[in-house]
Amino acid sequence: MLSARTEGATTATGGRLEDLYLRYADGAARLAYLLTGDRQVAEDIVQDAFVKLAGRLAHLRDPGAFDAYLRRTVVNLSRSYWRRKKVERAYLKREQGAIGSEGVAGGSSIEDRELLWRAMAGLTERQRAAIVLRFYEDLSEADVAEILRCRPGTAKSLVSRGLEAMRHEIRGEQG
Amino acid sequence: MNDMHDEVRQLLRDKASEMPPHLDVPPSLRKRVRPRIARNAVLVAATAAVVTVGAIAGFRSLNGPPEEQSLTNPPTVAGPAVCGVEQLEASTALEGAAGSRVGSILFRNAGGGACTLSGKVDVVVTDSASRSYDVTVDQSDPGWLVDRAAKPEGWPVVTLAPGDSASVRFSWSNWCRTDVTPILQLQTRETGSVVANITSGPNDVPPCNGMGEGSTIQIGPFEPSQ
Repeated sequence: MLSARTEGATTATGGRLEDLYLRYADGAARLAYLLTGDRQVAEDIVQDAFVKLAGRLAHLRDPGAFDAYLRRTVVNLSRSYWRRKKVERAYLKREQGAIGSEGVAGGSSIEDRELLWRAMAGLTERQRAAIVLRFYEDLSEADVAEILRCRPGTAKSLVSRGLEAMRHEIRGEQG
Repeated sequence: MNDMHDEVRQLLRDKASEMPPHLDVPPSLRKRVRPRIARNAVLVAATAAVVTVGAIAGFRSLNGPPEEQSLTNPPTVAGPAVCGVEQLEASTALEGAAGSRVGSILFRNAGGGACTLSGKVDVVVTDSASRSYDVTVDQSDPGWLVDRAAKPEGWPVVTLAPGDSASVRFSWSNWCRTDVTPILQLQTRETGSVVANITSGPNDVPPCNGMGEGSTIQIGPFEPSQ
Protein backbone atom coordinates (compact mmCIF):
# COMPACT_ATOMS: atom_id res chain seq x y z
CA MET A 1 0.00 0.00 0.00
CA LEU A 2 1.04 3.57 -0.53
CA SER A 3 1.57 4.21 3.13
CA ALA A 4 4.22 6.02 5.09
CA ARG A 5 7.16 4.21 6.55
CA THR A 6 7.36 4.73 10.27
CA GLU A 7 9.56 7.12 12.19
CA GLY A 8 13.33 6.37 12.13
CA ALA A 9 13.77 6.74 8.43
CA THR A 10 11.82 9.98 8.25
CA THR A 11 14.29 11.79 10.43
CA ALA A 12 17.27 10.66 8.45
CA THR A 13 17.22 13.60 6.06
CA GLY A 14 16.38 17.22 6.46
CA GLY A 15 14.61 18.45 3.37
CA ARG A 16 10.92 18.07 2.75
CA LEU A 17 11.35 16.09 -0.44
CA GLU A 18 13.76 13.73 1.26
CA ASP A 19 11.29 13.18 4.07
CA LEU A 20 8.49 12.50 1.63
CA TYR A 21 10.65 10.18 -0.43
CA LEU A 22 11.65 8.12 2.56
CA ARG A 23 8.06 8.00 3.74
CA TYR A 24 6.36 7.16 0.48
CA ALA A 25 8.86 5.76 -2.02
CA ASP A 26 8.44 2.16 -0.89
CA GLY A 27 4.69 2.21 -1.32
CA ALA A 28 4.96 4.05 -4.61
CA ALA A 29 7.50 1.58 -5.95
CA ARG A 30 5.35 -1.39 -4.99
CA LEU A 31 2.34 0.14 -6.65
CA ALA A 32 4.33 0.94 -9.77
CA TYR A 33 5.70 -2.57 -9.86
CA LEU A 34 2.26 -4.10 -9.61
CA LEU A 35 1.03 -1.81 -12.33
CA THR A 36 3.91 -2.43 -14.69
CA GLY A 37 5.26 -5.79 -13.68
CA ASP A 38 8.81 -4.53 -14.11
CA ARG A 39 10.96 -3.54 -11.17
CA GLN A 40 13.30 -1.28 -13.07
CA VAL A 41 10.41 0.45 -14.78
CA ALA A 42 8.75 0.81 -11.39
CA GLU A 43 11.83 2.51 -9.96
CA ASP A 44 11.96 4.86 -12.93
CA ILE A 45 8.29 5.69 -12.51
CA VAL A 46 8.76 6.47 -8.83
CA GLN A 47 11.61 8.83 -9.66
CA ASP A 48 9.57 10.47 -12.38
CA ALA A 49 6.66 10.87 -10.01
CA PHE A 50 8.79 12.53 -7.35
CA VAL A 51 10.42 14.80 -9.91
CA LYS A 52 6.97 15.79 -11.17
CA LEU A 53 5.67 16.49 -7.68
CA ALA A 54 8.84 18.10 -6.35
CA GLY A 55 8.26 21.35 -8.16
CA ARG A 56 4.69 21.50 -6.94
CA LEU A 57 5.25 20.71 -3.29
CA ALA A 58 4.74 24.29 -2.19
CA HIS A 59 1.59 24.63 -4.26
CA LEU A 60 -0.29 21.45 -3.51
CA ARG A 61 -3.81 22.39 -2.51
CA ASP A 62 -3.65 19.85 0.28
CA PRO A 63 -0.05 19.00 1.22
CA GLY A 64 -1.44 16.46 3.68
CA ALA A 65 -2.76 14.47 0.76
CA PHE A 66 0.65 14.00 -0.82
CA ASP A 67 0.18 10.25 -0.89
CA ALA A 68 -2.99 10.66 -2.95
CA TYR A 69 -1.19 12.97 -5.42
CA LEU A 70 1.68 10.48 -5.60
CA ARG A 71 -0.65 7.53 -6.14
CA ARG A 72 -2.43 9.30 -8.95
CA THR A 73 0.87 10.30 -10.54
CA VAL A 74 2.24 6.77 -10.31
CA VAL A 75 -0.91 5.35 -11.86
CA ASN A 76 -0.82 7.88 -14.68
CA LEU A 77 2.85 7.28 -15.38
CA SER A 78 2.29 3.53 -15.32
CA ARG A 79 -0.56 3.84 -17.74
CA SER A 80 1.60 5.93 -20.01
CA TYR A 81 4.21 3.22 -19.81
CA TRP A 82 1.64 0.64 -20.77
CA ARG A 83 0.46 2.64 -23.69
CA ARG A 84 4.02 2.80 -24.95
CA LYS A 85 4.46 -0.86 -24.38
CA LYS A 86 1.35 -2.08 -26.12
CA VAL A 87 3.31 -3.88 -28.76
CA GLU A 88 5.54 -5.49 -26.19
CA ARG A 89 2.54 -6.61 -24.23
CA ALA A 90 1.08 -8.30 -27.26
CA TYR A 91 4.38 -10.03 -27.73
CA LEU A 92 4.39 -11.07 -24.07
CA LYS A 93 0.90 -12.48 -24.47
CA ARG A 94 2.04 -14.64 -27.35
CA GLU A 95 4.96 -15.82 -25.28
CA GLN A 96 2.64 -16.88 -22.49
CA GLY A 97 1.01 -19.38 -24.84
CA ALA A 98 4.26 -21.29 -24.95
CA ILE A 99 4.50 -21.67 -21.20
CA GLY A 100 3.24 -24.89 -19.72
CA SER A 101 0.10 -24.81 -17.60
CA GLU A 102 -0.24 -25.60 -13.95
CA GLY A 103 -3.34 -25.94 -11.78
CA VAL A 104 -4.53 -22.92 -9.88
CA ALA A 105 -7.17 -24.54 -7.75
CA GLY A 106 -4.98 -24.54 -4.68
CA GLY A 107 -3.65 -21.06 -5.36
CA SER A 108 -0.68 -21.63 -3.10
CA SER A 109 2.22 -22.81 -5.23
CA ILE A 110 4.79 -20.50 -6.75
CA GLU A 111 3.78 -21.75 -10.18
CA ASP A 112 0.17 -20.84 -9.56
CA ARG A 113 1.12 -17.37 -8.49
CA GLU A 114 3.31 -16.90 -11.55
CA LEU A 115 0.45 -18.07 -13.73
CA LEU A 116 -1.81 -15.52 -12.13
CA TRP A 117 0.87 -12.86 -12.45
CA ARG A 118 1.28 -13.60 -16.13
CA ALA A 119 -2.45 -13.46 -16.53
CA MET A 120 -2.36 -10.00 -15.05
CA ALA A 121 0.24 -9.00 -17.56
CA GLY A 122 -2.26 -9.78 -20.29
CA LEU A 123 -4.80 -7.26 -19.03
CA THR A 124 -5.33 -3.87 -20.51
CA GLU A 125 -3.62 -1.12 -18.58
CA ARG A 126 -6.95 0.17 -17.28
CA GLN A 127 -8.06 -3.26 -16.10
CA ARG A 128 -4.74 -3.83 -14.41
CA ALA A 129 -4.77 -0.46 -12.75
CA ALA A 130 -8.32 -0.99 -11.52
CA ILE A 131 -7.47 -4.40 -10.08
CA VAL A 132 -4.29 -3.20 -8.37
CA LEU A 133 -6.00 -0.15 -6.89
CA ARG A 134 -8.97 -2.21 -5.77
CA PHE A 135 -7.20 -5.24 -4.33
CA TYR A 136 -3.78 -3.92 -3.36
CA GLU A 137 -4.52 -0.34 -2.41
CA ASP A 138 -7.91 -1.43 -1.04
CA LEU A 139 -9.56 1.61 -2.57
CA SER A 140 -13.29 1.84 -3.02
CA GLU A 141 -14.74 1.71 -6.51
CA ALA A 142 -15.44 5.41 -6.23
CA ASP A 143 -11.79 6.16 -5.40
CA VAL A 144 -10.57 3.90 -8.19
CA ALA A 145 -12.90 5.69 -10.55
CA GLU A 146 -11.56 9.07 -9.47
CA ILE A 147 -7.96 8.08 -10.10
CA LEU A 148 -8.78 6.50 -13.45
CA ARG A 149 -11.06 9.42 -14.30
CA CYS A 150 -14.08 7.30 -15.01
CA ARG A 151 -17.44 6.58 -13.42
CA PRO A 152 -17.66 4.17 -10.47
CA GLY A 153 -19.69 1.80 -12.62
CA THR A 154 -16.89 1.77 -15.17
CA ALA A 155 -14.31 1.09 -12.44
CA LYS A 156 -16.41 -1.81 -11.19
CA SER A 157 -16.70 -3.14 -14.72
CA LEU A 158 -12.95 -2.83 -15.28
CA VAL A 159 -12.28 -4.93 -12.18
CA SER A 160 -14.81 -7.64 -13.01
CA ARG A 161 -13.84 -7.82 -16.66
CA GLY A 162 -10.18 -7.91 -15.68
CA LEU A 163 -10.73 -10.78 -13.30
CA GLU A 164 -12.75 -12.57 -15.95
CA ALA A 165 -9.98 -12.07 -18.47
CA MET A 166 -7.48 -13.49 -15.99
CA ARG A 167 -9.67 -16.52 -15.41
CA HIS A 168 -10.00 -17.02 -19.11
CA GLU A 169 -6.26 -16.71 -19.58
CA ILE A 170 -5.56 -19.22 -16.84
CA ARG A 171 -8.08 -21.68 -18.21
CA GLY A 172 -6.50 -21.33 -21.59
CA GLU A 173 -3.08 -22.07 -20.19
CA GLN A 174 -4.44 -25.03 -18.29
CA GLY A 175 -5.61 -26.41 -21.61
CA MET B 1 -15.47 -15.45 -6.94
CA ASN B 2 -14.16 -14.53 -3.51
CA ASP B 3 -11.43 -17.12 -3.89
CA MET B 4 -10.27 -15.29 -6.98
CA HIS B 5 -10.34 -12.00 -5.12
CA ASP B 6 -8.32 -13.44 -2.29
CA GLU B 7 -5.84 -15.01 -4.66
CA VAL B 8 -5.36 -11.77 -6.52
CA ARG B 9 -5.04 -9.85 -3.27
CA GLN B 10 -2.44 -12.28 -1.96
CA LEU B 11 -0.57 -12.31 -5.26
CA LEU B 12 -0.34 -8.54 -5.26
CA ARG B 13 0.94 -8.43 -1.69
CA ASP B 14 3.51 -11.11 -2.38
CA LYS B 15 4.65 -9.41 -5.54
CA ALA B 16 4.79 -6.02 -3.86
CA SER B 17 7.06 -7.41 -1.18
CA GLU B 18 9.59 -8.27 -3.87
CA MET B 19 10.44 -4.61 -4.23
CA PRO B 20 13.48 -3.63 -2.20
CA PRO B 21 13.11 -0.87 0.40
CA HIS B 22 14.14 2.68 -0.40
CA LEU B 23 16.45 3.71 2.38
CA ASP B 24 17.94 6.80 0.81
CA VAL B 25 17.14 9.33 -1.85
CA PRO B 26 18.96 8.35 -5.05
CA PRO B 27 21.52 10.98 -6.14
CA SER B 28 19.98 10.91 -9.60
CA LEU B 29 16.67 12.04 -8.12
CA ARG B 30 18.29 14.95 -6.27
CA LYS B 31 19.99 15.95 -9.50
CA ARG B 32 16.73 15.92 -11.46
CA VAL B 33 14.68 17.66 -8.79
CA ARG B 34 16.88 20.72 -8.22
CA PRO B 35 16.45 22.37 -11.63
CA ARG B 36 12.75 21.53 -11.57
CA ILE B 37 12.25 23.31 -8.27
CA ALA B 38 14.30 26.27 -9.45
CA ARG B 39 12.39 26.51 -12.71
CA ASN B 40 9.04 26.30 -10.95
CA ALA B 41 10.10 28.93 -8.44
CA VAL B 42 11.01 31.30 -11.26
CA LEU B 43 7.74 30.58 -13.04
CA VAL B 44 5.73 31.09 -9.88
CA ALA B 45 7.52 34.36 -9.11
CA ALA B 46 6.99 35.65 -12.64
CA THR B 47 3.35 34.61 -12.62
CA ALA B 48 2.80 36.21 -9.23
CA ALA B 49 4.36 39.46 -10.45
CA VAL B 50 2.19 39.54 -13.56
CA VAL B 51 -0.95 38.69 -11.61
CA THR B 52 -0.19 41.30 -8.96
CA VAL B 53 0.43 44.06 -11.47
CA GLY B 54 -2.67 43.07 -13.40
CA ALA B 55 -4.80 42.89 -10.27
CA ILE B 56 -3.67 46.32 -9.11
CA ALA B 57 -4.34 47.84 -12.51
CA GLY B 58 -7.70 46.11 -12.73
CA PHE B 59 -8.68 47.10 -9.21
CA ARG B 60 -7.80 50.73 -9.88
CA SER B 61 -9.67 50.85 -13.13
CA LEU B 62 -12.73 49.27 -11.58
CA ASN B 63 -12.89 50.91 -8.19
CA GLY B 64 -10.62 53.89 -7.98
CA PRO B 65 -11.73 57.30 -9.19
CA PRO B 66 -9.88 57.89 -12.44
CA GLU B 67 -8.29 61.04 -11.25
CA GLU B 68 -6.65 59.21 -8.37
CA GLN B 69 -4.61 57.10 -10.73
CA SER B 70 -3.77 59.70 -13.25
CA LEU B 71 -3.59 62.96 -11.40
CA THR B 72 -0.78 61.88 -9.16
CA ASN B 73 1.53 61.74 -12.10
CA PRO B 74 -0.11 63.47 -15.02
CA PRO B 75 1.41 62.41 -18.28
CA THR B 76 4.06 64.61 -19.64
CA VAL B 77 2.73 66.49 -22.60
CA ALA B 78 5.04 67.95 -25.13
CA GLY B 79 3.71 71.07 -26.78
CA PRO B 80 1.84 73.96 -25.18
CA ALA B 81 3.19 75.41 -21.96
CA VAL B 82 1.33 75.39 -18.68
CA CYS B 83 -1.14 78.26 -18.43
CA GLY B 84 0.08 81.11 -16.24
CA VAL B 85 -2.06 83.33 -14.12
CA GLU B 86 -1.37 86.25 -16.44
CA GLN B 87 -3.00 84.59 -19.45
CA LEU B 88 -6.09 83.23 -17.72
CA GLU B 89 -9.32 85.02 -17.01
CA ALA B 90 -11.10 83.34 -14.10
CA SER B 91 -14.76 83.72 -13.29
CA THR B 92 -17.27 81.98 -11.14
CA ALA B 93 -20.60 80.45 -12.06
CA LEU B 94 -22.13 79.63 -8.70
CA GLU B 95 -25.64 79.26 -7.44
CA GLY B 96 -27.04 79.11 -3.94
CA ALA B 97 -28.01 75.64 -2.83
CA ALA B 98 -28.96 74.52 0.68
CA GLY B 99 -26.77 77.03 2.41
CA SER B 100 -23.89 76.54 -0.02
CA ARG B 101 -22.60 77.99 -3.24
CA VAL B 102 -22.37 75.35 -5.91
CA GLY B 103 -21.24 75.52 -9.52
CA SER B 104 -17.95 75.91 -11.27
CA ILE B 105 -15.01 78.21 -11.77
CA LEU B 106 -14.07 78.95 -15.34
CA PHE B 107 -10.61 79.65 -16.74
CA ARG B 108 -10.49 81.26 -20.14
CA ASN B 109 -7.29 81.40 -22.09
CA ALA B 110 -6.98 85.08 -22.84
CA GLY B 111 -3.45 84.76 -24.16
CA GLY B 112 -2.18 84.54 -27.69
CA GLY B 113 -1.07 80.91 -27.62
CA ALA B 114 -2.28 77.57 -26.47
CA CYS B 115 -1.57 76.47 -22.92
CA THR B 116 -2.45 73.60 -20.65
CA LEU B 117 -3.98 73.05 -17.26
CA SER B 118 -3.98 69.72 -15.52
CA GLY B 119 -4.55 67.94 -12.26
CA LYS B 120 -6.01 68.84 -8.94
CA VAL B 121 -6.52 72.33 -7.65
CA ASP B 122 -5.90 73.80 -4.22
CA VAL B 123 -7.65 76.86 -2.83
CA VAL B 124 -6.29 79.39 -0.40
CA VAL B 125 -8.73 81.94 0.99
CA THR B 126 -7.23 85.34 1.75
CA ASP B 127 -8.33 88.91 2.06
CA SER B 128 -7.13 92.10 0.45
CA ALA B 129 -4.41 92.33 3.08
CA SER B 130 -3.19 88.83 2.18
CA ARG B 131 -4.32 87.40 5.48
CA SER B 132 -5.31 83.74 5.02
CA TYR B 133 -8.31 82.05 6.58
CA ASP B 134 -8.86 78.50 7.64
CA VAL B 135 -10.88 76.65 5.09
CA THR B 136 -11.10 72.90 4.66
CA VAL B 137 -10.50 72.01 1.02
CA ASP B 138 -11.70 68.63 -0.21
CA GLN B 139 -11.06 67.24 -3.64
CA SER B 140 -14.11 66.15 -5.59
CA ASP B 141 -14.68 64.21 -8.79
CA PRO B 142 -14.59 65.92 -12.17
CA GLY B 143 -17.91 66.86 -13.70
CA TRP B 144 -17.61 64.41 -16.59
CA LEU B 145 -17.32 61.57 -14.12
CA VAL B 146 -20.25 62.77 -12.02
CA ASP B 147 -22.32 63.15 -15.18
CA ARG B 148 -21.22 59.70 -16.36
CA ALA B 149 -19.97 61.26 -19.56
CA ALA B 150 -17.05 60.01 -21.59
CA LYS B 151 -13.61 60.97 -20.36
CA PRO B 152 -12.52 64.04 -22.29
CA GLU B 153 -9.75 63.45 -24.75
CA GLY B 154 -6.38 64.10 -23.20
CA TRP B 155 -7.71 64.37 -19.68
CA PRO B 156 -6.35 65.03 -17.06
CA VAL B 157 -4.48 67.47 -19.28
CA VAL B 158 -6.70 70.18 -20.65
CA THR B 159 -5.28 72.06 -23.61
CA LEU B 160 -6.66 75.52 -24.12
CA ALA B 161 -6.38 77.20 -27.47
CA PRO B 162 -6.71 80.99 -27.30
CA GLY B 163 -10.29 81.74 -26.25
CA ASP B 164 -10.98 78.24 -24.92
CA SER B 165 -12.04 77.64 -21.36
CA ALA B 166 -11.45 75.06 -18.70
CA SER B 167 -13.41 74.64 -15.53
CA VAL B 168 -13.36 73.06 -12.12
CA ARG B 169 -16.37 71.93 -10.09
CA PHE B 170 -16.69 74.06 -7.02
CA SER B 171 -18.86 74.24 -3.95
CA TRP B 172 -18.39 76.30 -0.83
CA SER B 173 -20.29 76.28 2.40
CA ASN B 174 -20.36 78.17 5.69
CA TRP B 175 -18.48 81.43 5.46
CA CYS B 176 -18.98 83.37 8.72
CA ARG B 177 -16.47 86.18 8.29
CA THR B 178 -19.04 88.52 6.93
CA ASP B 179 -16.69 91.43 7.58
CA VAL B 180 -14.22 90.08 5.03
CA THR B 181 -14.46 89.93 1.26
CA PRO B 182 -12.69 86.67 0.58
CA ILE B 183 -10.26 86.24 -2.27
CA LEU B 184 -9.93 82.73 -3.67
CA GLN B 185 -6.42 81.97 -4.75
CA LEU B 186 -6.37 78.85 -6.93
CA GLN B 187 -3.19 76.87 -7.36
CA THR B 188 -2.33 73.71 -9.20
CA ARG B 189 -1.67 71.05 -6.61
CA GLU B 190 1.10 69.52 -8.67
CA THR B 191 3.30 72.58 -8.93
CA GLY B 192 1.74 75.05 -6.50
CA SER B 193 1.67 77.68 -9.21
CA VAL B 194 -1.15 80.20 -8.94
CA VAL B 195 -3.63 80.12 -11.79
CA ALA B 196 -6.22 82.59 -10.51
CA ASN B 197 -7.02 85.11 -7.81
CA ILE B 198 -10.76 85.61 -7.66
CA THR B 199 -12.28 88.30 -5.55
CA SER B 200 -15.61 86.93 -4.44
CA GLY B 201 -18.74 88.67 -5.51
CA PRO B 202 -21.79 88.84 -3.27
CA ASN B 203 -23.30 85.77 -4.93
CA ASP B 204 -20.13 83.73 -4.54
CA VAL B 205 -19.92 83.75 -0.77
CA PRO B 206 -21.97 81.15 1.11
CA PRO B 207 -24.03 82.07 4.16
CA CYS B 208 -22.88 81.38 7.69
CA ASN B 209 -24.39 78.12 8.89
CA GLY B 210 -22.53 77.90 12.18
CA MET B 211 -19.64 79.82 13.65
CA GLY B 212 -17.86 76.84 15.07
CA GLU B 213 -18.27 74.50 12.15
CA GLY B 214 -15.61 75.80 9.80
CA SER B 215 -15.77 76.69 6.16
CA THR B 216 -15.51 73.94 3.56
CA ILE B 217 -14.67 74.04 -0.11
CA GLN B 218 -14.97 71.12 -2.47
CA ILE B 219 -13.15 71.49 -5.74
CA GLY B 220 -12.60 69.18 -8.67
CA PRO B 221 -9.71 68.88 -11.10
CA PHE B 222 -9.37 70.87 -14.31
CA GLU B 223 -11.52 69.67 -17.15
CA PRO B 224 -12.64 71.12 -20.45
CA SER B 225 -15.42 73.62 -19.98
CA GLN B 226 -18.76 72.32 -21.23
